Amino acid sequence: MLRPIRSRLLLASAGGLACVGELPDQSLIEDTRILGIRAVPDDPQRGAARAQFFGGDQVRLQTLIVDPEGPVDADRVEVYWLACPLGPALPLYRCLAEAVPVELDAIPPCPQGPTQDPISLPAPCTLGTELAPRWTLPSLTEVAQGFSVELTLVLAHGDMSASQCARALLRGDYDTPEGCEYATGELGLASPGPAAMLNEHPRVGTVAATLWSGSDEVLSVVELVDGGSLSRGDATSIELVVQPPDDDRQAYVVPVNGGESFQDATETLRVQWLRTAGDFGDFGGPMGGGGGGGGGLGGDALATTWSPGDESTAMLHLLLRDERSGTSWASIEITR
Amino acid sequence: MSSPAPDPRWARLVGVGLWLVVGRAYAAPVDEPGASPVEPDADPSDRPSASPPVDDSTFAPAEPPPIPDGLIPPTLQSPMSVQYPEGLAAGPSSPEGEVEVAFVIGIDGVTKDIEVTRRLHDELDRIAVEAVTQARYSPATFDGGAVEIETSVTFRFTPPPAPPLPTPQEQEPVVEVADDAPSPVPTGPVRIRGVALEGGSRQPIPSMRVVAIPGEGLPLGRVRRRESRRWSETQGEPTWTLEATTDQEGAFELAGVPDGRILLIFISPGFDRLEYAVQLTPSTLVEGKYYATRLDNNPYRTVVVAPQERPAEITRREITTEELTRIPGTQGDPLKGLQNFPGMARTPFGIGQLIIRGAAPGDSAVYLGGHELPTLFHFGGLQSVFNADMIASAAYVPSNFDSPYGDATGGLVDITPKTPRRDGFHGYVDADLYDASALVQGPVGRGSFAVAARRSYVDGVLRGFDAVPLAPRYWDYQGLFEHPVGPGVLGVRLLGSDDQFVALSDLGEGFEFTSAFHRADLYYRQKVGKWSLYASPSFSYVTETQGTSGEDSYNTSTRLEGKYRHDDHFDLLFGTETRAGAARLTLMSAVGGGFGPPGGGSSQNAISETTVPYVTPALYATGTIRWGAARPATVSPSVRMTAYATPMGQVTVDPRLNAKWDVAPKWSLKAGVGLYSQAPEFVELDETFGNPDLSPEHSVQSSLGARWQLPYDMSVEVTGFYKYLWDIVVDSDRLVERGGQTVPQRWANTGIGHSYGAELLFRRDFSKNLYGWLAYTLSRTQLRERDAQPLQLAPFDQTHILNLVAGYKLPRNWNMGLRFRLTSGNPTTPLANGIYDSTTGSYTPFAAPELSGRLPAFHQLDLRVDKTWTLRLIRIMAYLDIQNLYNAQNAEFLLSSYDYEQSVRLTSLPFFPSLGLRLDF
Repeated sequence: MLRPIRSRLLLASAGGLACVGELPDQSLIEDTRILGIRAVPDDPQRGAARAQFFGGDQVRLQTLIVDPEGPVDADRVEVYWLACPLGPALPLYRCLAEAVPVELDAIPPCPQGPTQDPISLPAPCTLGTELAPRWTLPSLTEVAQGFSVELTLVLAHGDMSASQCARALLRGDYDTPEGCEYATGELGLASPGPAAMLNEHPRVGTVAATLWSGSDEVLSVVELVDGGSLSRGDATSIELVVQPPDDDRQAYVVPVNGGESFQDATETLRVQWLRTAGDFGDFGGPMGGGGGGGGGLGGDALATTWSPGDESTAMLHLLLRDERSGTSWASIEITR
Repeated sequence: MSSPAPDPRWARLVGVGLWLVVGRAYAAPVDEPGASPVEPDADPSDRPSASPPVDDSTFAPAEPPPIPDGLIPPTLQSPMSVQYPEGLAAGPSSPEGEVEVAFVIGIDGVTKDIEVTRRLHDELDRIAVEAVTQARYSPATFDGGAVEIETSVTFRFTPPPAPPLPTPQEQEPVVEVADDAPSPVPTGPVRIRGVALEGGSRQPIPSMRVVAIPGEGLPLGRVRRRESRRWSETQGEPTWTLEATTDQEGAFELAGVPDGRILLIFISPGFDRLEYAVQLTPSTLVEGKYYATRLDNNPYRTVVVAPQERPAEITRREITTEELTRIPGTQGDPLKGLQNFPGMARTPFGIGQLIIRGAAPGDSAVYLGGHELPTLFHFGGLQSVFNADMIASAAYVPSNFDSPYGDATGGLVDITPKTPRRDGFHGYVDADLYDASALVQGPVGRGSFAVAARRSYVDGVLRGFDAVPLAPRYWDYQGLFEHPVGPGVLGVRLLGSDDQFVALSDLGEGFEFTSAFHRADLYYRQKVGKWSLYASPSFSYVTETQGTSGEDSYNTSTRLEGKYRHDDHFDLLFGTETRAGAARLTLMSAVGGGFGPPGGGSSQNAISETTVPYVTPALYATGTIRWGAARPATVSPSVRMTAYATPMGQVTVDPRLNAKWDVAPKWSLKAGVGLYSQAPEFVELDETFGNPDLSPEHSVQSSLGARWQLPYDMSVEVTGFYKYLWDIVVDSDRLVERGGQTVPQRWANTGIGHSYGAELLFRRDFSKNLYGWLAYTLSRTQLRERDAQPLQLAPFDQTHILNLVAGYKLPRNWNMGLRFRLTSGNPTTPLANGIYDSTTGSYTPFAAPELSGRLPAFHQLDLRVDKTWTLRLIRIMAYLDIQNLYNAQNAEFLLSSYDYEQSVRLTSLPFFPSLGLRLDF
């Protein structure tokens, strides 16, 4: 028992001495990709930013799908939605991974609408092929056990169909076909209680863009919102600062080890930047290895610097996460 | 005058008497071939004799006693020969006469109870005893049964005539014996007195021949070889010569030396010739210290192989530190050198973990001084945590280790620390591109001490490599103190180590990993008659952090051991090893209940602390039984009982059996089988983070090996092994009932495994200029986590492991070594695609058949060259250690792209030369 160091030391030190080779940069959009999935109330009157729901709530699933040109329209892709009950503290995709292999045709549709008595959610079930489907949540028995719903989006582009991509996933293939993208997200469930305790998606708010000249002079400062556009002119770099509303960092209670104890916690907001051209500044971070585009802590200035390339236009996408299941995003076009 | 070098002169066994001992005071003089009086020209093949015969030898034959009926006398298996030492032969008064040695020939044919019954000279007495010690007989039999025989031999030592010295034509200095010898120089008062010492180590050189001749025209002081050659060409034969021989303290005196410039010539086997010019003025006495250079110079020379009185462990590979430190690619670290033996898998980046016969690194134990070390190597595996100069021996036992060692289902490395030197103050300073270290040792009263320390700076060197994000930084220290107390020896040992990774670029920022330990041992050992006792308590503090997680443990270990050696046929080793302590764990706990192990994928974790106390006493015993004479066999049954009292409350009883049989004089067989147990890790046993219901892991190990001793100090060893493991702790997603509650199981004893293979070791010992070995292992290790799963390769399985190590001692204290390695690549899991997690922005790979792929084969050539200069008081070694001489681009890991669609190979360390300098004093 006096040997605390096992293979983890082996791998840790090996990784430390490794010389990292060339790999694609995650922050550069070079093909069709899914960047965001989330569930929001279908009725904005019920709290537009809610990320946690009761049985009977009608939710709408939203996506951010992009390619090098920008956000992708619904008519250019096919999708397939799956849902699966996810146990507490389990990582996303665990539920579906344990269900495969399974025939696509054997998967039932997810139950809709409030029920008299709580029911179990089939693992998995289908939510259809619309890009932004609506789902009226049933009352689920798993809510009391701290379960949530694991959402899986199957995306087909190019010559592939959504059903082909879904079948490959459900067969348990680890080498899935070209033209298939997969993403998973979380739909939080809540036991009946005070609405103030519900998790919410953080809001992007505005993005302050400061345009810098090559001689380190500020050319202009512009505030942008989702879908906004910016002409960079002679700017050689643009400093981008995400400014979420001050009260979007929620406080919450964390049950530790099965409710043995509880801890108070406050959300940490993190931003991930992606781009179709140009380059971001160095963010650092622990052993990222080809990631980039992420930084910022504690809801303070969530800043990055973007340097344009030779392209005349570029799309910048940002994803804001609260390290629970809350996610928001925004896209900005930058022209010469 | 030119003459060949003098032939070695041989003393001769001239008389033998035998008395029979058969359990009662019956004594009858007997005659047998080895005991008969030896005629000078008798055939030496069947009796102890000397060869070649000495012309002027005389002998006094013992009266051969009659042989009782039924007695067949013992037969000497090879001639017993001794050589008259050159040092004594060169002296002015070489002793001549007989040495009689009495001894007993056991029923196994081995000599024992050896005693000199007639003395002549310390050196000659010692030579005679050594010859008897090495002699082997076919045992005597009486009425068909083997019996012990008491006997004696008499050696007659006759010095050879004074040898003529080399001539100027042979490029040797002019030191010839005048034709009209004896020397015309009259005897008189002592004029030159001195001490011959070994340069660098300052140890006295006994039996060194000191010749004095006239040296007019030479400068005072040490005479260089070229200078001596030029001078000798202008000289005729010396008009006189005087000679002396150094005593055990290296001291000598020359009397009756005339005034004037005198050339002193120091000659001894194994030492470079030393010439020194002194000036004698009337009525003066010249005193001085003279430093000769050992021809085979090595700072590790004093390190010897540990005693062979061990149980018959099936494969216990022991090697001198000197040999191991010369292995290329090990940076002079003997413990890294052990990794080149069969059964030891190659570790990625040479990081120095012990992966023995496919076992995970944590499944093999490292003992030092009877207590376990938490780790053997510093981060990066660049050096071991214990100073090489403090190691008496390092043994590697890949399986079937003996009962004093436990809590490991894999193999063993057993390090025996060295007693610090008492012959003055010594030490070294060493620096290379990796680190710098220093050591000082010497006497304290009747005891001795040693202190050493090392500090790395390789992180500074690696800053020049842009692509390296992290580098190790480490330091360690050791302190030893031994002192006689009563009839025994009391010792204190302190050692510690500290490691961390430092970021060299932004990529490495935030990667926090530290590890350290500090340990203090107290020990007492004593011999009382046939008993050897050893008692040692030890206390250690071990800490390790990884990010916000960590483990701090306070540990005690107490070993009480006794050994009773009844006779050559039986000894018994028994003792206790009790470990106790507590580990404080700081871990990221799973939030919201948690099914899997802590930190297992949830992005929502919290920090928690817990403490795991443990108490693990163990009892062990090993009996070693040896029998047979010409075909000695050894059997070592042993048992180790371990009470995993806290927290598991379980007891394991591990019986083990090892056996060795010398089938023929140069053939031996070894076999072993035994049970081995090991506790789960602290975190796995914790009530909060783990599963307190876990049991120890187990393995049954079996091995069968054969060894063939070849001519020219070569040997071949073949070993087959099979190991079955069960109750391996693996992670679990199950929910279980514990204490009336449904809780995550987290870990379970559901894993099993197999490991089997064969090993070949072809080795040439370090005794000659060319040394090294070829080690090849063919093996397979498979594991299964749960019943429903198929067996799959273990993460560290390497089908083929080939290590070729060769070194050559070159003239002028140059050494060169090469190491070539060719091994199978490690198993790897093929990854091709993944699913994007929108809550984190990262991808999760799709499950692929685990470890179903394999990295390309690894091959690498390393080179080491060193050169030693010996000065009066110090010795300097410069060395160049080049790793990956031809810059092979070996894949160590596959690094995947963010979405797992692409991968690149992380290659092993590139061509990396390390230049170092070591100064010994």
